[in-house]
Amino acid sequence: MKLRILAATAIAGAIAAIGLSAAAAPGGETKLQSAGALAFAPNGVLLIGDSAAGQVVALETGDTAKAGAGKVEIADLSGKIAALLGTTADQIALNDVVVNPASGSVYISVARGLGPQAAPVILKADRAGKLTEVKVETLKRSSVALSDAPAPDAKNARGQAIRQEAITDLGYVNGQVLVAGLSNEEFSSSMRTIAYPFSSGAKGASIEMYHGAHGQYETAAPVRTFMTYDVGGKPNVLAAYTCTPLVKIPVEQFKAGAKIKATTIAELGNRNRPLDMIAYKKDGRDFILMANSARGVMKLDAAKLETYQHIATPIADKAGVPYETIADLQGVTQLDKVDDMSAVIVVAAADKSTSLKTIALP
Amino acid sequence: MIATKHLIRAAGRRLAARSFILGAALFLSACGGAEPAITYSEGVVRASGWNGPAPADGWESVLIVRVSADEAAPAMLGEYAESGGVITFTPRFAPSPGVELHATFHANQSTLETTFGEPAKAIAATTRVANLYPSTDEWPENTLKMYLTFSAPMAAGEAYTHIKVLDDQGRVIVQPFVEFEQELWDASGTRLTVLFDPGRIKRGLVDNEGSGPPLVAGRTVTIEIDPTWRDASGASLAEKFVRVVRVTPAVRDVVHVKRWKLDAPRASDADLVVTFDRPMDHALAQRAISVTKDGARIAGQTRVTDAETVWRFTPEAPWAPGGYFIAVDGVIEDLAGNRPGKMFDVDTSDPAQSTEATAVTAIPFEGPNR
Repeated sequence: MKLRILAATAIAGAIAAIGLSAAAAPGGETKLQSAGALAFAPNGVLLIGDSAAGQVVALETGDTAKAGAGKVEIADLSGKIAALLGTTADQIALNDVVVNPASGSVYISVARGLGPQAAPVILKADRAGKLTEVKVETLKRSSVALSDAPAPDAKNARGQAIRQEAITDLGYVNGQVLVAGLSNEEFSSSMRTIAYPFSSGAKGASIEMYHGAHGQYETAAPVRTFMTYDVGGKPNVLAAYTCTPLVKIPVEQFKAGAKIKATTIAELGNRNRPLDMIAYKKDGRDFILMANSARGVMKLDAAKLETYQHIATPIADKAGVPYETIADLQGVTQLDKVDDMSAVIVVAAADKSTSLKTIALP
Repeated sequence: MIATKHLIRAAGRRLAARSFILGAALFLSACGGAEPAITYSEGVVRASGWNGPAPADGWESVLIVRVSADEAAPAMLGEYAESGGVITFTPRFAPSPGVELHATFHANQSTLETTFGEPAKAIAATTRVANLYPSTDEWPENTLKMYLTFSAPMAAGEAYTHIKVLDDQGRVIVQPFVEFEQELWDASGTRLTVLFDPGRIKRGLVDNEGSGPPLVAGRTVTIEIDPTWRDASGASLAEKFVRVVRVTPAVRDVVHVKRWKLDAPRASDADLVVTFDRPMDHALAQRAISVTKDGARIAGQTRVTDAETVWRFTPEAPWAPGGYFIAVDGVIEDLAGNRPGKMFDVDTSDPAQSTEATAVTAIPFEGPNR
């Protein structure tokens, strides 16, 4: 049979609409199914990426008083967390570590257990390194569902959706929660902005991210990690794509349905998996510190990022924003800023043991 | 059976159990309380014989439960309560198999220590790799992703160290995948999506030019799944999984829906069958194609077969006469991530190449005449 095909517009009503739903749920019903990426909004509001439930949860921790000035140091972090949770270090995963800028306390998202039934746990470390549980179900919270499946999702025998979106990173800027996600099916590039506080029936803007490789080849470009940063006085997202370049995108371009080709401001070399980024000021100069899988932590000179032009020519290894490698910081898997003087890092040793340390910013 | 070990101390000094019991009995006879004891059953540690007011530093200062005898180890998280001289501790999580509970009870003037636990049981290795998609033995050089499915839920967080890609000389291809800490599992933990490093597939990127694509046309690669990968229960896989794949030239062409072959149902209970012009992404072929009539989605069963070249739909209710549509959502991808109307990596210097996929392509067909 010869195929006859029609454009969708010619058959209005034949096809179900495709859209993003971002409906806020009242806090009392919000349950965490998983706890992955974390970020703080102002006033001690902890944003939790819950990929398993396809939601972002905003938790009012009430933790807004300065927690003191001590340096948080926790040796054998995984072992200690496992001990708190009645298990062994090989049965837990440390998913993210962030510092609450309102208090200076450290928050850690953990999976207790190995498989899809692993329990999500949020822990808080005070400046003395004492770990306590943040009891999500006792705190005021709200959530927003992330769903933009084009059709009702295929379900497995237990009625669970097979398609899932992994929330790769979260951020907050000027009343907006930013969510970078990656589908476990289509190679897409969703970056969503959702107004916070979440309002019932609110719709987030979904933005398609593209990478223009050297001005010629253009592809979808999922974001692995990002942070918000002022560039030339305007809020920008500095993001690392899955394929390593560091890009900048003015937040004002984040509008529903926008298709954004970001400006590549640095190529960071082959086989380099960026993990976390922070920005800080030292001796009056701006820097960005980036933890990555391939080499020691990288320190980028963030002066005048607005002056960097898009890198549009093939280059041998690295280009753009200059950086140095802080060689004595090896094995850093988590990084977050405490203040302009110090940061909290998690270091993984060769034997897989981990430790949480406070370091002076280089 | 729960094994318990008792060790009793008074004022920090270790005593034999017998002398403690004697001392306790003397003490109790004066106070009229119960003998201090610790038990553990139904997930709750009970310390009985508390005789006095609630301690100022909370019940956790007199009943401490750890997973280790090491006093430097942190106490387990859990809830405390007290009633009638019995302090109860309910751990936040029941201890994992093989993890012992060490309970220390500073009861009145003596300290009681008890260990509870069951030895870890060996868990049989029964989980296997069920499928590896693409299921064809010929993968294009620019294959974007593969799906590994398992017979039971798997542990998250250790995928990339257990999947090896070997070249035709048996050498390990270094970092062929883009590795995400989150790992791309489905909700059941039985399907993992693995992306070949797009930086090495996309043209014009540093990694593509420096390292080349992980798969090279004309050669074979072997995908090996190491059986030490743990399932969700902590057991290893039952066996190693190996697939040898022949790599074919890159597919750099949009998905042409009009080249698909449609077999409309000729009977009211017959399947609707679409044959693709090339193997398609297994998950997306399953999800991105639907059937509608008068704007409403038709319920039915979808199967993708024949190495992802055939899509087959069995409706729940018999077909009716009249017009239907097959709706192909623009998210559908071939093995290399090409979509209807749009290639995976678009050469923007070529004005003939679209940077937008066709949102939805509708294919009309007629239901069978009864």
